[in-house]
Amino acid sequence: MNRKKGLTLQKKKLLTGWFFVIPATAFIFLFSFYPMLQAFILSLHRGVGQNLSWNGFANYTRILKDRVFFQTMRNTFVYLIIQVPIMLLLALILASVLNNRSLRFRGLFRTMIFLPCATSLVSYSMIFRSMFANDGFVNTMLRGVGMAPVGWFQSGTAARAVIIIALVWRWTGYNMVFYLAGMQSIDYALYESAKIDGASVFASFRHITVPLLRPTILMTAIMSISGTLQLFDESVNLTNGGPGRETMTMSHYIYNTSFVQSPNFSYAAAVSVVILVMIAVLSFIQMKVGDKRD
Amino acid sequence: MAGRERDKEQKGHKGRLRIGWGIAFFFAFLQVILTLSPFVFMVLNSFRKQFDMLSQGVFHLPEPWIFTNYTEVIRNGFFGYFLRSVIVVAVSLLLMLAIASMAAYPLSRMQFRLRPLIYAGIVAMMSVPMHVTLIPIFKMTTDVGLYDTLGALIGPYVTFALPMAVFILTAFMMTIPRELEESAQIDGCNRYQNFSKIILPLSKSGLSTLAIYNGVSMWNEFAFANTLIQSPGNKTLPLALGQFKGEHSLDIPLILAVLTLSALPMIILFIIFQDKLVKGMMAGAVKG
Repeated sequence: MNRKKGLTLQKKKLLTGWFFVIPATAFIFLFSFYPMLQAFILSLHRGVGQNLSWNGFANYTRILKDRVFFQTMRNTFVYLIIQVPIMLLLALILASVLNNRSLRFRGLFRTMIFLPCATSLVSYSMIFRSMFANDGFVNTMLRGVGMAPVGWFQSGTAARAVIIIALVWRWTGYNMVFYLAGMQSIDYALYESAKIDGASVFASFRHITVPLLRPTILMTAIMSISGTLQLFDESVNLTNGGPGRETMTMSHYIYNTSFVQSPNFSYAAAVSVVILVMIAVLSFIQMKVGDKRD
Repeated sequence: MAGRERDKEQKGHKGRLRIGWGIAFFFAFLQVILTLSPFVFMVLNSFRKQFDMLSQGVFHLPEPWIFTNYTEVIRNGFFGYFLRSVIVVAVSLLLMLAIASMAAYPLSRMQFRLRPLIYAGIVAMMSVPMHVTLIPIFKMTTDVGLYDTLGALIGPYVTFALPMAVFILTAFMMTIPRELEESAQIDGCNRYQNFSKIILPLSKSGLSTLAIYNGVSMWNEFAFANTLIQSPGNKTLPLALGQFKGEHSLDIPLILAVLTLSALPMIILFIIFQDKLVKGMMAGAVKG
């Protein structure tokens, strides 16, 4: 760098900037952008391996007529609309509780709420399957309260509910830690003076916590939305998409079309490009809506 | 300190506050029970004999406590899987944090023309579905000759964590006041020293949050490990599970012992890191 003495200060700054950004850009280009591009090119072809032939947009028009795709899309959006708001609200409430300085054993609580994130997928799905089995823990509890047991994996609605419960269980703690971190930058004296003015807990939650955490909330919302649209693990491991295809997600469908039945990777690639576009549009709308300052 | 004295003066308001906190606390408590019960299930049953699970009830204490599940898991090469996972996760995590913080620094500071484009490009990659890149990456690794080595996993692991890490660290670094660097520059620090001596230490809590999260997801990652690694001598922990499942026709307590042993390091790591996290956060809060 020292040899380039002819450069102006401004240019030097720029060069340093580039030097710092290049490794990240290279990795993302190589392992994310380039494979994605290949998938897109593949989506315009048909056939396997060396026998690819140009197919134009036929794969995309096929999607429009694909009933299964629309079914999986509907399932995914049901998860999105019900689960994301519940989970984020719960995470916010939990974070506010754990941010209260007079609460004891905060570290212990935090660790316990974080546990689901540390649990590997296989154990978690095994545990949930056994808890929601016909004679499992949940139905035993229901009978104990005098309610009729539910065949959790027999009907679409109930199975979807299990998936939503499992998702909330697994990801609430994850989002909570983001909120907790965000809350550390809110001056605690604000809460104390609100307390002196006689503001209720709900009032200070609504008028201090939520507005000041807005950027964090926006970020977690975008992350959760793109995570839910890519939802795969729960659909495969908890219900295997069943009964029928009532709980199958879009990513599960991609996986099935590319690896399970008669593999059709170019069609799977087309479906994934469509999902990518959906995620991008939704995130963009979110950013625009969330960025409004009042 | 002063806060505690002020607290005492406010006891009059506490009646109303208590109801609100009571409800919130109830939610927290419920969540703790919900998160804990599957864990208790896992640990308790890993100390049971295979057929005692049904006869004793899954939430009862095992009788007697047996350790043969654990000894058998360890005898069957558990530590090999464990060590390989540690290597892959440690290398990927360090590399990822270094690259992400390097990129986040100019993105949070400098105004070059391509900045919005690069930033948006990196962040947009957050939404690339992982299963799409699986096959192209598989082809790439075989072409380069990295197939069936631990090195094959590092590229994808770093890359999938990068977009979110850059996103978070950029937001984080924007909150660090520029005056700090300006005064350091007057004292003769260049950009590189600014970065390593001011920005990095101040980003510690952001970095440790990212380390915990991405560490956990790398530790449990299955799809890429399963596709890119074949020989048992190179497999990581999440694949070990399949190995144990295959050898012993679904001995659930044995599998639970594997799961308990695999989850343990992450929990310990969280407890250690979390302590640092809280300290860092507290320091910031007192100053504010």
